Amino acid sequence: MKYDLNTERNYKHKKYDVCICGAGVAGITLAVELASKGKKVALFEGGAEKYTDTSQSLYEADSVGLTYYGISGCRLRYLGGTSNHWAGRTMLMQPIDYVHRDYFPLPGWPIEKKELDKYKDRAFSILGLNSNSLDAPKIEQLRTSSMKRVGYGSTPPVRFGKKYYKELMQSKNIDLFVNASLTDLRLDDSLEYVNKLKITNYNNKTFEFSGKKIILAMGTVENARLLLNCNSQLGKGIGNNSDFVGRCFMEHFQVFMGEYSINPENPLWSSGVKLEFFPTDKFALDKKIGTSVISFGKADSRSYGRLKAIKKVIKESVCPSDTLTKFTKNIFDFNCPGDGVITTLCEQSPNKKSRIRLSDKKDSLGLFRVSLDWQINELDKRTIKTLAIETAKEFARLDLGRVKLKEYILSDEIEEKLGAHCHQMGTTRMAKLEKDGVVDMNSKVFGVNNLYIAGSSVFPTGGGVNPTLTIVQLSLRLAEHLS
Amino acid sequence: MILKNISRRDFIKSAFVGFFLTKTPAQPDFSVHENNDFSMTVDGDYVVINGWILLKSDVEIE
Repeated sequence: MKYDLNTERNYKHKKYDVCICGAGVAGITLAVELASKGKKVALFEGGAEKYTDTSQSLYEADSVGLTYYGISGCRLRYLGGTSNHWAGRTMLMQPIDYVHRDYFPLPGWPIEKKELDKYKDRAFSILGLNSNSLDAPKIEQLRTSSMKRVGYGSTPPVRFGKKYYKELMQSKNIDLFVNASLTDLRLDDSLEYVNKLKITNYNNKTFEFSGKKIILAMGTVENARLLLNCNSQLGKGIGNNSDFVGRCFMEHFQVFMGEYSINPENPLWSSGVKLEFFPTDKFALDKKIGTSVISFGKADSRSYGRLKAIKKVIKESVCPSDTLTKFTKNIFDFNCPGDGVITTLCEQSPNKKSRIRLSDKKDSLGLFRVSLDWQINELDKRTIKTLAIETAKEFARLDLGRVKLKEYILSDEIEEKLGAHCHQMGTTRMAKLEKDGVVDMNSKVFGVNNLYIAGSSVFPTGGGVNPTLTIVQLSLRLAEHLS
Repeated sequence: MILKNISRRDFIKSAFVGFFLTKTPAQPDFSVHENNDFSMTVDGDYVVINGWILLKSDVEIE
């Protein structure tokens, strides 16, 4: 059943088993799974069924740290959320992501890989992947001691709002509320239990709801923003005893490492295999660095190689956000001499100084907006430089061609040349202990018995992988836990 | 330091010379300059010249 809170007159209050705030990848996956297990679910979407400027404007925010174009435009605020402009690429977290890396500033994943592997097949099915979609082709000539091939899935992107629309409308166990923004969580007298949600429409009328379990699934920025705004009962906000809410904002660095010229005699170039490197676990651990997909975009005179695919996706996604268009202007303007460019999807280590804070500006619903202070640390700079040099060496050693690295890779000016992938993560990180995070190993907020968080804001590390598959796996795991 | 006898392998020569001379191979009218300054470091089996990561066997330095 669907209710539009802008116009709804006849809704009668119910108490739900689960209230989910945010109808994107995580929220819809959770709603569908929990409903299928007999739970009564309220799913709140702050936007409408389609894009509106009114809803999207609530995402406006400032950026005060490293240049970051995507604080608003990376995210979409309507049914389906950011899946509405997802490009369809995905990857599994790698074994190294679950290893304790003592050179990282903060602890990593407190759960083992097998915990998420349990949900791999179901997540594949949801995202339209085949069981062998992520098998990396074995190419002996590309086997090196420092680099390996990894499996990428590329699928016609799933728009969760469209895919699950019928199910959301017809399920007896799901009430979908649109134009329904979460504006406050109220705790009971113990301050350890959420007993009310305040949901506000665009006429600033507020409705109260309640549920046995509450899940925030509004995305990395909004999950943290809401918790920080809920500061009338707990001065630092809900779930913020350890001062981690909003901190450890992570992205995947997009770095143009250099250009390359191919050795046309190497049969790889005529084989049709798409070349990508990924550091072996041993190399990354020995060098004490993070990881990254390293891509070799082959250029042609018309379309600048890999950028052609990116431009095509952007054109076809009919993304209504002007900010995203501005963000990609660098790509449209980029010119590539030689045979191609080398780019990255590079891990950012968790950094407490990279964070979102509340600003002094309020949105139309009365919530403080955010200010992003995106920061890079010395470990991340070393990761980029080490991987760039090793990539160039392996490229030469394998006689694939030769690489010319960008000057800023070899100097200390990398900060000015960083881009990002719109993979926002980490602001309510998962941890074994409250002192290291916001949610526990079951994604429950420390100190609040019935509040959970879903999505990439709980990632303690981001790996060098696209996050969508992990988001779905975690959502399925949380659904099972709450069943 | 003079860079001479750049590898006879055409793809290295044409690309390296093209980038080195600040024109791209795609532009047909690039010209050859002499006595350019360049920076070079040796890193094990590799030579780094103006950002190019080459094998030692790719070039001769005099």
